[in-house]
Amino acid sequence: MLGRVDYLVWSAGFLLEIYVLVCSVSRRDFVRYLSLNAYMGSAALVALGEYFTIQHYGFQSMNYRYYYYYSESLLTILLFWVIIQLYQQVFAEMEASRYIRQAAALLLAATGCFSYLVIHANKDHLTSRFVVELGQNLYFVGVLLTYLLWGAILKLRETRTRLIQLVLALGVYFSATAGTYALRNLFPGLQPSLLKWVPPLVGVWLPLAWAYTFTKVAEDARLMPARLMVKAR
Amino acid sequence: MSKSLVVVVLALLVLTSAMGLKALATQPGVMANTSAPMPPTPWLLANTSAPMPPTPWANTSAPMPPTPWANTSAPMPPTPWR
Repeated sequence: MLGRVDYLVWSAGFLLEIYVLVCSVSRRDFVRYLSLNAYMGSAALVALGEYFTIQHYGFQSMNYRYYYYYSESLLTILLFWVIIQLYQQVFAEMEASRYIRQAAALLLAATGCFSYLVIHANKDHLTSRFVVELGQNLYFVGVLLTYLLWGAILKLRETRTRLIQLVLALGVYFSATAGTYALRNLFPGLQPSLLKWVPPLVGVWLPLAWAYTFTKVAEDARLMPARLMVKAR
Repeated sequence: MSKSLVVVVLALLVLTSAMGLKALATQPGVMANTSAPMPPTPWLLANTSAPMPPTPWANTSAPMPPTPWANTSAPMPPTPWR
């Protein structure tokens, strides 16, 4: 049974996702951040669908479980696309877009193959297991890609504020969720009281941070590298 | 080494590292992309590997029990207000 806090966190996430979309369209950044907007729009649609599924079939129903895991896997694939587009923006000057696209397609295919190899022995619920396994594996590929992207941003001395904030928000999101996984394994007793709240709150964090970035940070805003700041003094 | 080969090697390296990270961080867990409440995985509660119990009403070979009100030979109980 869901309580008021569940619905509150959930609706906050939904509203923020819509806000990011509206903000992006009104500032004419929709195409520039196409994958990010597609992800936000899909996440909002999925949230609506989840609400109606729970209202019709109930939180404990099989319908909701299947809906949740299938839609989460689709969202993870979209998030993977977001990361790839951020890579393309960071490496735009090196004209490496073609190689990034090739690597992304290969990585997606390899993750799909690996996921199938892991679960192919299971005769029951093969498709559902594959969908969930693929989603989880892509999620951890996303964690690693985000850390690597952050390393590249530092190495290349990236100064585009908006890009940096988008990547940082993604990094916090992935780190918090991965940390929750690890803590759940180390301290299973914390799950019912504390850790169960982390994924929903982190789910709100991502649209919140991106909404702040699109609202407060202009596309042409630049960070002043520390080296230049020292010289300026 | 050609650029295509570098792309392949890097992609496989990322995949291997990510799976190592997954093994370190979690046992079979759950995802959390949205703020929606998380249900358990479908097959954990469905337990479909166990045989399905027969439903009582599917057992058509058994005789249907008589409905109490169809037993017209039994005397009718007096109504309380009589």
